[in-house]
Amino acid sequence: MIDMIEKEDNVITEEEAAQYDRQIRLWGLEAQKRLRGSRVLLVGLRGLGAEVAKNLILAGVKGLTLLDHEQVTEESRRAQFLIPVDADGQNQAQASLERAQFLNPMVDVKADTDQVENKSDSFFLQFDAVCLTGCSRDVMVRVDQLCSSRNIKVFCGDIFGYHGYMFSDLGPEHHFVEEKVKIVKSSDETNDGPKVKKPKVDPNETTMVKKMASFCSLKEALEVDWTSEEAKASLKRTPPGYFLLHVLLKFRTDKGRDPHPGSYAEDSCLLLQIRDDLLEAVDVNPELLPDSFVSTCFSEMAPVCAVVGGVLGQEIVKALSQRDAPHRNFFFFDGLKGSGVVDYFGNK
Amino acid sequence: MADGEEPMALDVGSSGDWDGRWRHVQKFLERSGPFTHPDFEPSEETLQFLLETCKILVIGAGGLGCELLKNLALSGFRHIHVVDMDTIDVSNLNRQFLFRSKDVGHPKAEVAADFINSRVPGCHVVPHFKKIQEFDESFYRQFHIIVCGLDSIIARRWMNGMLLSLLVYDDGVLDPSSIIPLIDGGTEGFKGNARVILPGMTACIDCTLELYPPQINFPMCTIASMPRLPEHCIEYARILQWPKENTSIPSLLVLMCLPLYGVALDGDNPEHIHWVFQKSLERAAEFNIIGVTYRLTQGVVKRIIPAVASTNAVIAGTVPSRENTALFAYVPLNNYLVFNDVDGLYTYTFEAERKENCSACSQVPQKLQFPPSAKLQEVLEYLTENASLQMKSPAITATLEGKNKTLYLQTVASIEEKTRPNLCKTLKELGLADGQELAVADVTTPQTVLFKLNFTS
Repeated sequence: MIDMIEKEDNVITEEEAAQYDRQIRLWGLEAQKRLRGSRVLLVGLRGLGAEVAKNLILAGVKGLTLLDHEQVTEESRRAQFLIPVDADGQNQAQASLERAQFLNPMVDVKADTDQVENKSDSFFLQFDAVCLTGCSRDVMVRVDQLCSSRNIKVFCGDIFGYHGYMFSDLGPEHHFVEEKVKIVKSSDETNDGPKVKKPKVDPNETTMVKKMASFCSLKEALEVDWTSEEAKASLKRTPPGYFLLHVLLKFRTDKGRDPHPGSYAEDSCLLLQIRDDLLEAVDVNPELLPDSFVSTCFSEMAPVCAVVGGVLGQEIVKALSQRDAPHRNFFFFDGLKGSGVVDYFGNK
Repeated sequence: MADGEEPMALDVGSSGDWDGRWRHVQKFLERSGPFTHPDFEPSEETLQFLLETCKILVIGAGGLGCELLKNLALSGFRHIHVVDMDTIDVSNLNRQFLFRSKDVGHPKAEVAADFINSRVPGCHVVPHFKKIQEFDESFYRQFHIIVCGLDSIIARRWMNGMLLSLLVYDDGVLDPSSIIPLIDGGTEGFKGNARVILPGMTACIDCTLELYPPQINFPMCTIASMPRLPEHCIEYARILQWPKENTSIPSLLVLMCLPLYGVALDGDNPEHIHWVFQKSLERAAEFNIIGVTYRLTQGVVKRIIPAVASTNAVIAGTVPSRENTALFAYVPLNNYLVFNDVDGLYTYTFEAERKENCSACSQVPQKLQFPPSAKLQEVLEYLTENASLQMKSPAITATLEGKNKTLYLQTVASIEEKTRPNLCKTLKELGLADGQELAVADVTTPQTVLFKLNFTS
């Protein structure tokens, strides 16, 4: 459980201060201490998982558990830099462990080879934050329901080719602080004389403001009612990534895997079919997600993993450290356009 | 042995590849998008080119560099060179993930290359533990594309100038094969940007110099008499007190009778920082200012920029996509991406426009307009303070009476002393004429910039 009171046993050592210097200057010592006391569960160690693992381990969380039941294949290694070249056939989490731990010996990194579906409720409750990648919609909804009511921060994310998303549920009442700039009119602005050489900028004085944000469940976020007039009107501004996500999650549920380049023809057909069915069922024009999505949603593009992994990693850091405004509640990235969008789905 | 031809790129035996390994990159290359250049035919040959031939230079193996090398290697590039003049410091370890604590003190380029070479089969990274200025055109000319993850604007401008100097014009028409695309990225805290530069075609670094945030310099009067912030106290100690009072450094130096006059403040010397810290505290106490800490003192003196892994990951992630873009035929419409994760998330892409009279890339002769009674000092100030030029320590030479004469040069002490009296002389006194050409050299460019002197009345 995280609360606003400082956690015990969180004295920063000299070694930590030296290593974390550049980020402490960014988010402060208090935030670093909170990170230092947080335990995170990361499910799925494909490309996105590896990026998130890297970012969290470098940031200096207390512990990170890598959970993945899959085996390393040539394809799964493609966008994943933690798994060594000769690890085919090994468990994905195990194979990632050594390099992950090596990133920062101060973090307690563990590997767990179980399937996330088989984990009991109590397993999840030992963490401060849970990040789910490569999971089915049912698993994500279940874990989200279980965790957010106990103030465990929940994050989901996936990469489909050039497209990626992340979702966060920080609970109905997430407290955090924000550094706001105090605009100070300095009286010495006109005292510099006629020769003002270079533009001069004073770091403005800042003040810490306490804030609260509320989040809806994943279930609610995915089950938006598009039949209302208001919802229809907002369709124009809705990122296609939201619908793409639905299609790919349905594919994953139906086939038990993600679209695979080896079965491109068959999978493309199915993807288009799912899109038509899904969008018709909610009375949304299938043209909102044009056919071209099919050719760009296979596999995981390494740089797209890096971008989404960077944003997702930072959201987890923000939530654990309770500092800086969290994104609400989705982030969609289109790697072809280089566009990133934050949008909220669900009851506000 | 098979009788028929085998697809070379995906043959397991010859190149260590397996069927489908580069399928994800292949998918990208084998599609035509709405912005595809009309002359471009995507095909398996292009993929072949990408893998076998394309030579990429990464400049900087720091926060961005590490992420870039990882992304480029995983994206399929095989021939990569990396240049970095630095060695690894413990403060790098929170984000430069190719390095670990055992690597502290070793050259960044070499450690980074080792890591990638042992992790990605077939990828060959060649490290160079050198400054970019130590290479000439023959080095840079061998690359198809150059990616920068630099930490200084001066270095960026130098690189920009180098690529501009490689351009070949036939009868005034730019030869496209002499263009080497430059992809430049930068980050600071939660902010970052990435841009594509096609030298000679799109906006260059100098075209958009005004976009860079101004360096923080506090007004002297604030520092000297009206401090409000802890930073003001630190600058007081650094700028005013240190030069005056540096005899109070640890007595060991005094005992050794070393000439103390002119000992430069060394940001990496904890004793120096400690001295500044103490003096800052005293100053702060005088004015009832709180907030002076050792860490803040260090930050101000060393001009430390806060940095974190995630921002670097994001910006470096956008680079390979833009690279594929520049390299493989998408018409470069939007060439400047800005990322800001401070207040919500803000990504914005726009097309930076070329500046018509850019001093680096426009080939338009630069003008200097001064009355003949102006002093050389004024010309020097113009060169350093003008927002579009922002030179650092320009050296000015002119041809007088058939000979090349140095009017002023700052970077060599003996010449500086000799030419210093020229600063107080007028342009007329120095023998300069209307329409005269002045050649100016500076760290911001590998080429001399020619200015035409126009006398105003």
